[in-house]
Amino acid sequence: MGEEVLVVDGDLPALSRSVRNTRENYDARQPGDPLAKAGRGMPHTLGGSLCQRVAGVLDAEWDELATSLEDFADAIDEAQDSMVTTDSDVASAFSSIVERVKPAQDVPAVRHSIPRMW
Amino acid sequence: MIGVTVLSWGQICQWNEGYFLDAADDMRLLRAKALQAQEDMESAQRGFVSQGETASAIRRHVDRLIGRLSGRVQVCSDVMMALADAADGAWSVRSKISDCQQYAEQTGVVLDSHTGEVDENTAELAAQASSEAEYRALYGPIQARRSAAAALRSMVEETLTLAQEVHDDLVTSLKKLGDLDPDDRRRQGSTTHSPGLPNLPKKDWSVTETATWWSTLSDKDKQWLVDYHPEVIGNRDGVEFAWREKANRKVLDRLIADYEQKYAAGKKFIDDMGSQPYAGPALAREVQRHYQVMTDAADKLSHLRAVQRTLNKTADSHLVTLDLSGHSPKAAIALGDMDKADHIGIFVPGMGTRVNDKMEDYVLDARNLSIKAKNVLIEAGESGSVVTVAWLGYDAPAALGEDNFYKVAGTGLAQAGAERLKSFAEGIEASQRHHSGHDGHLTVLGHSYGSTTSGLATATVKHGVVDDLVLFGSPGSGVQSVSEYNLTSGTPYVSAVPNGDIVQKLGTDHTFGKDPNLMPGFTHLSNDSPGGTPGWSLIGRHGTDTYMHENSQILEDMAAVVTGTYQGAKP
Repeated sequence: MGEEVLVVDGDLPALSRSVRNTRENYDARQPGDPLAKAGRGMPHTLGGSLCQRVAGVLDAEWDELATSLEDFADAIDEAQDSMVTTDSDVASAFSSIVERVKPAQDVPAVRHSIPRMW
Repeated sequence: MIGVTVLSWGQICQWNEGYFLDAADDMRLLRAKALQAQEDMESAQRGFVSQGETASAIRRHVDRLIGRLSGRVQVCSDVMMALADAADGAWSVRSKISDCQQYAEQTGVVLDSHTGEVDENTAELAAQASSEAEYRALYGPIQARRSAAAALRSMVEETLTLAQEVHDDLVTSLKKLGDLDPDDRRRQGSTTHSPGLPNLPKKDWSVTETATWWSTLSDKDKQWLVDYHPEVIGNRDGVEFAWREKANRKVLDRLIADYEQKYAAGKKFIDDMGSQPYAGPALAREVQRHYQVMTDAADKLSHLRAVQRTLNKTADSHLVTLDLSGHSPKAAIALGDMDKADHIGIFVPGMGTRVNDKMEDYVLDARNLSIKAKNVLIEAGESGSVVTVAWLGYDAPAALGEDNFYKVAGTGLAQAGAERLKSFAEGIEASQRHHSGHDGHLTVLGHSYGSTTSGLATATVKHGVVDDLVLFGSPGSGVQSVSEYNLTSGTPYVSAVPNGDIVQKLGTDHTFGKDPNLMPGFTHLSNDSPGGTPGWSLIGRHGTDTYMHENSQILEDMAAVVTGTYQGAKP
């Protein structure tokens, strides 16, 4: 018999809603557009083309974090749905869902993505 | 190695700072979104009260996400500042390119728009000669062409060097961004008051960088800066003028209290010693030191109190500069809201300008100009706000008979003042653009030595900042040709009373620039004024009481220029 479930009623749905709201606000715009625009200020130069390249990388990072937020909200919802009798069961269920989706710390750094041309 | 690509003239001629400015502004909005997301997650975390293994696992995950959002705030901040830096650099490059083009046009040499190569174009001169005598007579003009070509080659080289620096700085910033992983970015930004950005503006920031940084701050952050670092904010070009005014008022009150205390302490020491018998040279030196502190405090107080007195008696006055550094205290008082003004006139006075005995008079002159300009707008059936500024923001030469009077013979103080004036004017442009989306019409009006200061500033200010220039009672325009001025309107104005002003055209052409009253390209405003000191006076009818007399046609014309409604004939 595991220990008693200590998750307060309504806590998980509230957190899930907050995370989804955060994701929506965060993901409304991406950094690529401004950077690509900046590149036009210095056309036909390394600086200008680098703006375009970094724009793509930042957009990818931005997307990845938005997905992580979405996955996190899903994981909380699933944990809530699979709520069983003990806290350790719920923790285990949550962890397995988080593991199944992309781990939060596994973020590709920009340095791996920009061609070394300087 | 960054500078592997060498920029060509044709490339840099295509640069446009507008793209960088827009992009920096977009990045500012994006940073605000990321910061809001981070704060939302922190708030959600605080509201999550459950305990146990599940709650702990969730909290650890929320922590990681908050960290990653903080990293995004840092990325946006870094990119935003890099773009602001590039915008200012590209703006400077564009201004220098324009200077080169103007110089080529003025001297007759040819500047290739693709390669940047300079052709002396002496063949054009030779084609005008048909006899040997005429050929011989061309020797001087050909030498002048060659000198001009050499000078232009240096200007082109200087512009390319600046462009390369601007370009390489941008590449370095983007490379640095690529070298940091998200966790490094978070650590970098986590210790600052405004996430992802420094708490205080860096000393080497341009006005564009300062304005961009300032625009990211909340009112609470701005108030914190005014409360704890007013001396940094009050004179910082690029910061909103409404906040500069708050900071400077705070500094003014603090300085008055400090110097009153210093004066009282010095006076008490000397008074106490006065009743004691002579106690040796050491004590005498101490008395001397206290006396020096006391007189210095009295001098500073005379300036500070003049500013305070003027502010107290002048409605809608704003202290936009207050600086006790340098040879003499400096201050500028604006009559109205600079951040949203449609028409701004900066009045730059000349020789003998001292805050303690001239501030009130010059604010009155600025007030007369402002009232007249508002009337001109009404009469023209146009709307728009007008703000005039009494800018005593540089070390002007002393008045006749005072210690540093001899400096009026050189342009050292005018050149130093021009740097400050240029930065102030560029600060208005950057501040309006970033903080109110405005692009007010800016006129610089220089009197006496201040006209040379104004001319030199307008010749080096970035393009698109100063719209019109008025010089009056001028010893020299600061330039050899009107094409050297970076004016949006392209037309400078001059006013000179026909007789009695002994300072007019007093400077040598080589140092002070040519006499604006005789230079081609100047539009001549009225020279009709009932003011001035008739009869015996060392400077004759030179004072602002001549030119800015409330009933003079000169002031009326100046008001028309300030409001962009001048209808008189132009050259």
